[in-house]
Amino acid sequence: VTGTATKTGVVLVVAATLPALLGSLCEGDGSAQPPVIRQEPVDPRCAGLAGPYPSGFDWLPGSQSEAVVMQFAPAALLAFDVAASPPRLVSPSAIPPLPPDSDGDGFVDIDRYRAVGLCPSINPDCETSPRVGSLRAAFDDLVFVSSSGYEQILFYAPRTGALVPLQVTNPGDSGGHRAADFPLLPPADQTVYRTGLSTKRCVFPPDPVDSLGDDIDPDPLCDPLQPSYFTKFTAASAVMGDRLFVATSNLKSPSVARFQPGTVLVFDFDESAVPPHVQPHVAQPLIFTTAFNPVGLTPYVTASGTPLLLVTQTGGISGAGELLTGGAVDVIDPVGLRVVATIPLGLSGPTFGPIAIDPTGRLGLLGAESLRQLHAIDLAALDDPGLLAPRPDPIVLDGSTPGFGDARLYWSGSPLLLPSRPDGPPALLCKTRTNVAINTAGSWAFASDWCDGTITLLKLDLEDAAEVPLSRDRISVEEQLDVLSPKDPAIFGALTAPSMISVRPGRPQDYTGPDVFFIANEPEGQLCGVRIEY
Amino acid sequence: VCSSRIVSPRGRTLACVGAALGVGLVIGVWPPIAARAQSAAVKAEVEAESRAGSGAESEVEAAAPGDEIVVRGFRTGRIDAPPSAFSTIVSTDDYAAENKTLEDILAQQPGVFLRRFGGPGSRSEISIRGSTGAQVAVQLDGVPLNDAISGSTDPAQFCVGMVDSIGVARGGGAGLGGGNAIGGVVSLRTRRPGAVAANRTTLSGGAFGTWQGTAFRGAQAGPLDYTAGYCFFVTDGDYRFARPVFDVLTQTSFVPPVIERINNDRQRHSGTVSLGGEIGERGYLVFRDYLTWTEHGEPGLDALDGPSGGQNPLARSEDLHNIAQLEYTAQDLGVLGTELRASLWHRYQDNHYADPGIDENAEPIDAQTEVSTVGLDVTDSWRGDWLGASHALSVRAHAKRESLFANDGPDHGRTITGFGIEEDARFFDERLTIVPNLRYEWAQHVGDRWMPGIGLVVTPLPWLRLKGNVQRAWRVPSFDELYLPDKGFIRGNPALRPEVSDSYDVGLELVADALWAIEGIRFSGSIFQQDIEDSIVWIPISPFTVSPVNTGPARIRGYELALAFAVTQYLRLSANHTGLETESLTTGLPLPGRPDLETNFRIEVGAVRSWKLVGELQHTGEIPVSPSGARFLPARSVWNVSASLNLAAFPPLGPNGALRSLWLVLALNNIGDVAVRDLLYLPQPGRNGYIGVEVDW
Repeated sequence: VTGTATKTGVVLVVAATLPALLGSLCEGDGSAQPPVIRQEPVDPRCAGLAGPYPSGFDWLPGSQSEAVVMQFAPAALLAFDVAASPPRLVSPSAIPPLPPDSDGDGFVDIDRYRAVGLCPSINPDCETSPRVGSLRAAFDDLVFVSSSGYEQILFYAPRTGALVPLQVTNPGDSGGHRAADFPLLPPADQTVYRTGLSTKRCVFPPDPVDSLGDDIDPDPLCDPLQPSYFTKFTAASAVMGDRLFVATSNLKSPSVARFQPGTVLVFDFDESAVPPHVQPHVAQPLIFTTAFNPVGLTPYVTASGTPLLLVTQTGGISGAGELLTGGAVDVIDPVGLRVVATIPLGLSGPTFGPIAIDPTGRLGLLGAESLRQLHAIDLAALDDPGLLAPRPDPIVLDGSTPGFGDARLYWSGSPLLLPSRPDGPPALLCKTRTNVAINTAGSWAFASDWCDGTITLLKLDLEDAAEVPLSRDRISVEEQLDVLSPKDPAIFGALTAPSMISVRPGRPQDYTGPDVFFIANEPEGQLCGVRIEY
Repeated sequence: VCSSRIVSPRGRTLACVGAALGVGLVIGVWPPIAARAQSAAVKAEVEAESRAGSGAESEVEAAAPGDEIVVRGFRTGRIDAPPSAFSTIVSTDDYAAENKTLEDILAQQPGVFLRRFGGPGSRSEISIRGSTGAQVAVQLDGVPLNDAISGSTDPAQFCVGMVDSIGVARGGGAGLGGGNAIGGVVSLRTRRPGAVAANRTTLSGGAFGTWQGTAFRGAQAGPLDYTAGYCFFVTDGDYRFARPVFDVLTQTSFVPPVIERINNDRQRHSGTVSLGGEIGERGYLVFRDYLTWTEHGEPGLDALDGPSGGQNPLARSEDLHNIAQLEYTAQDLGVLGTELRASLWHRYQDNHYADPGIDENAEPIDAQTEVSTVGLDVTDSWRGDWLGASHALSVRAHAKRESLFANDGPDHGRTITGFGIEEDARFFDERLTIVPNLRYEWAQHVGDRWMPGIGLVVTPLPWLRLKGNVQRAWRVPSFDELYLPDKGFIRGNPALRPEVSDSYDVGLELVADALWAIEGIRFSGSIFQQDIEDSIVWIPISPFTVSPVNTGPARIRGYELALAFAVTQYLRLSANHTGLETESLTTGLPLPGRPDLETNFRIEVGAVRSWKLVGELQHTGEIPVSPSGARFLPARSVWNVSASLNLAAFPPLGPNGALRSLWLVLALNNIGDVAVRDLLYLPQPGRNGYIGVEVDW
């Protein structure tokens, strides 16, 4: 009986394991014929990208015909020669993919993230990876790309699309800097080579109230005893002199549009080192913005030669584009490292990215995240030595501060409305997004409209603009071009949704081909160029 | 008049599957059943069965050519499609001992493209002639299955072991199929009890830790007949897959190039019962219930960079789905009709989706949704001869009430009701059949519509039949499309209009019992066109919000070819090919998600009752995966093979043993290890294999 039972048992075990064993032996992964996604050109003016909504677009400094575009997924930095129409890649070689160890610290990002305890306690096996965002071509051979999730600034070589290592140091505790506040930077006082600069940092807000007016709790990973949080949604970067500035939006809850106070991180940047060297600025490593959701950094030098950093903030904005708190442009002294002034724009939701500034430095134009309008600021109001004088609070440049002017030309209370396209979608259905650029002569501005697929041409009359404030009449809507299809369900599938408009450097009369470039976002991302020739 | 007649245990005719053209061929019969039930091959089977001498337990009792074949045991099903419809009916038994799922079988039918969302057991949806999943009406024993929330139906929730037959009526001929039948109608029919008790058990296991099994019994107990069945499906679902490479201006890709499908485990348990009995001499009352419980991971999309590709390791779903039906059928009621069917049914769906959030930037979701639908469906038919023609007049009335309860939005309810009338008039010894129909449907909060149609069948020669149809159909927007709560980035659209289509098709069918050594030849060819107004598509309507909208008019054209034949009783071949051309009439762009062609080829070698080797090829053309019509998933050719041996056909178990069959099955799918995706961001497994056993007694 025992023998029979044993045999039966063996038979049952074999019967139970055989399918699983044979099944696992034959499992394939499909790599014998991997899925190669083919994509055809859709518009002779445009160069296609993989997937919709590329995250960044900029011009390579020093070049008048090379642009870089950040493709969102797969993340890839693509350099284009825009002298060709449509734009063509500078190098036809395959673009290196974003590696699992994106910052080059020797660990797969998520492993490192978990190892240092950044996952929430309720989910110790959380997932995160870099989601690429804005792009800033800081140098001819070095591009900064922000990433959220795994918060950092990635370092790219623009013409190859490869990540490049820089020297990164996390100084020892000194001044306002605590090495432990940057959990993903190297240990204190160590300098290492990294392809990404971690921007995940503990923040201890002096006024611990979020955009919904609620108190900010302590984050136990930062300090269980005082209100704190980690920076999130690395949004923008800018180099000014020997400083690298990085804006983090600090959106805490997308579903209820809860923002924690916005921050601008300050790093020392030594371009002359080989490779360049970057580290947190120990004396003043962090600047809080006056409004919520900083999404754009614009270096600016006044007519009298004072460098300033302009920080665009949308204010609280919901996932549906509803504007909840006021937007603003903060003015940071990049030497003193503090907000010296702010230009409140009200419920305007200025658009992500840098401000378009005319060549004379007099006029700044901003698009709107969810409105068919532009905003304009008179930058002459910043050319005031008194602005940098020490004072406890930033100067509010809305005409309410004695001795200082009103920098606002067009804002939420008096916006520069753009015409809507007659055959475009109703505003109720499609809240639009506008982006704006100014030509190199400073004579025209070009505003793209996401819903309408248009570029509106605005005449700028900035010659001999001595009056302060600048006359609003110097900006006038002249014409509208239907460059893409409107966002009309009936023509679903057509090329639509322009944004990130920019003007090719140089004088149009010196080259043939398109002079105004923009990103078409749907159905697939495209870098498009049109010749407007004004 | 049927050369083969499927009869009930009580002797009622359920369906004719014979070759008496123009008379009893209510349904088109296609591979592989054509090579078995209607050809010399089936005669050989019958003979073999007779030789087996299984006496009273034999499945087929009579076999002389032209004689009535009385089939017992599991009944073969039928679908209620007019004779002019281009339709297919498949007995799931014809795929026995091949470890096939319902989706596998559906995917091989002409005109059908099965859009799979993942690996074994994962959600899929049926596209017929280029339709969306929501544009196909799916029924189980006549109960509409289309999800009130999404509009589509997931065939993966039904076990093939519980389903007796699958009917597919394509395009315009879908006629009285009711709401959603723009692309066509898929009718699932559960197994029925037979005169002889029948028991079936299956068990298989293999790749990705996948196990599935079925236990089923159908029998009579005194004046009642009953069925009871249970099936399960469990899988780890942890297959590795190749990530896409994007060839635009240059190649960009993800690293690593191969990753694992995570959080893809799944377990499903289903049970079915039925209890029926005759009411008087002409009536039959049956209660059926089909219950499915599923619990599974929601791995999400493979769309982003990183080692997990953006998949969600934590989100889970739990679904409960019950279909209860009380059906009364009666025959020969005099002025009350020749055939009467009344079905009172209730569906209950409960879905619980929970996602704690994969990282600090994601927020928890805990959504509970219940949908309760109660419906009544009555069809009465009168048959008779007058004005020199034979007539069958059918009148159908239906009503249902759908109620939605959700914890993340307001409750909703609506009533949909309608009626239809169809005439089947046959002239000149049935050489000409005209099938006009008219339907009316009213949907609360949406509106109403009259939908006329007409079908024509001409049989100039006994072996040739010409058919054509014109039909209007509509689809009422689903609850999600209308009422999905505004979540900032996504919302429903209460202003949606129903989708409306006009379908046209014409074609021919050829039948030859023998041509030299080739037997059971069946050929069918058709061309079709669908003009669709107000197609509903989810699109980004602003930089912030995705919402369903009525898009412009669209046109789908195509053709279908199908051929099946046998060479001796040991070799059976079948093939079909569908070509599609889709176009938005406003933009001229192709519609996304539909391959331009699909070809299925199947070769079956062996003695049907004792052993068989099966090889299948499915070639799918490029699939546009963007509304721009400029982005394509690659064409692919996938080979599957299986080998099966029926031990009950050989001593010592058979042929006179207690077992009717005992199949050992070895199946290997996607042997070329091709990366398969029907949707850009949802990978399917590569090569996989299974071993199984199937027992009938």
